[in-house]
Amino acid sequence: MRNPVKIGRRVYLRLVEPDDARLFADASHLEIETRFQDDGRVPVSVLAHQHWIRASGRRGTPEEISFAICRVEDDVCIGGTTLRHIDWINRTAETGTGLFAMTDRGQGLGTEAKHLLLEYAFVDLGLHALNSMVYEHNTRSAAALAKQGYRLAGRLTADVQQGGGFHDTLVFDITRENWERAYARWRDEQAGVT
Amino acid sequence: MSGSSWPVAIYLQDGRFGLRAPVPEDAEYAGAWYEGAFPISAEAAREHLTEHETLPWGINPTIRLIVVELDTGSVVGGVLVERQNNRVGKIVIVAGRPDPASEAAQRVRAAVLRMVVPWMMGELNLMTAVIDVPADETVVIEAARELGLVEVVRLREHIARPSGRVDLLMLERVNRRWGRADA
Repeated sequence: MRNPVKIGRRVYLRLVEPDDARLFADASHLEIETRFQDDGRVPVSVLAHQHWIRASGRRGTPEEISFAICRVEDDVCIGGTTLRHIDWINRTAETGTGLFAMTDRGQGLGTEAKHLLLEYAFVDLGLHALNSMVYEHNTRSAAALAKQGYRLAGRLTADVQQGGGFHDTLVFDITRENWERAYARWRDEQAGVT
Repeated sequence: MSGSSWPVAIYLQDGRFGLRAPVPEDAEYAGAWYEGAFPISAEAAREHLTEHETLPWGINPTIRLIVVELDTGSVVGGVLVERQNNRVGKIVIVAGRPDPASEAAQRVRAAVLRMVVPWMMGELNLMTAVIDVPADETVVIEAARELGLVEVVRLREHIARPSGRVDLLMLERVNRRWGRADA
């Protein structure tokens, strides 16, 4: 494993590196899903991703920390997960997670990565509460958030324009206490405890 | 700073406070208007302004304005109107440091809100106006409600106060003119 920050059973998290830029750029060209991209799919350059990765890796107090989600078995980076808008005074942040390939989605890998991110946020950084935004039609992500301990906090009206219409954005929140309960449940499920 | 040095927008003032575009000299008063969580030097503030103020004709997606007290010209705050796709307007108001939760500070932010929301709806023609307000800032919340903003999101325990944590509200107003043939 390469500089792991959090290690799970099947995936681990490490900081994104400039040489990951190609994977993120490729994913932006190969995305199959059209409904859950707020602004539609956009091919993004390697240069743009390198710029983002270098900016996020600088020393100092970050407003964003981005991790590559890597498979334990072969070190391959399969996606990314991020804490953004980190508020170091109020100890809050927004989370976001994505897997590059459709074949990796729905396999529990994103949930495992998300629990590693939440552990990093709540335990390592000592954050108090987090939030996440989901396009209202993205029922899969909304269900995943609920399973991870998030609660629906409300919705922003017509926040997204797509397909000639306007759609709401769902806003979720989670406290450390919520996450600890959800994490314990998830670990029991993984261990086969009923 | 002299009150006569720079013009205040005649359509964004309320008799006590007014809004104007930033000028390089505002860097000396960054503590009053800078939106970041941590203080920055005057030099860094000047760079920040220079990097931001690059698009004329009102086309910058993020409109930065300085809040001044009309009688004295003193810089007392700042406001950002972040336009997403020229449709969704997010408002960030800074005023009242070093005690931004005080009632006096809230009154300044409430006054700014009363100036910018009608402007965003009526002139910028944004579809929605959204602002985040801590749940204990009753003066600002009252002003927002008078302006037609309603609570659409409540993020639990997102604000730290000396006495404990409070919720963060997202307040929103939808522009009724959107979607109508006569808008």
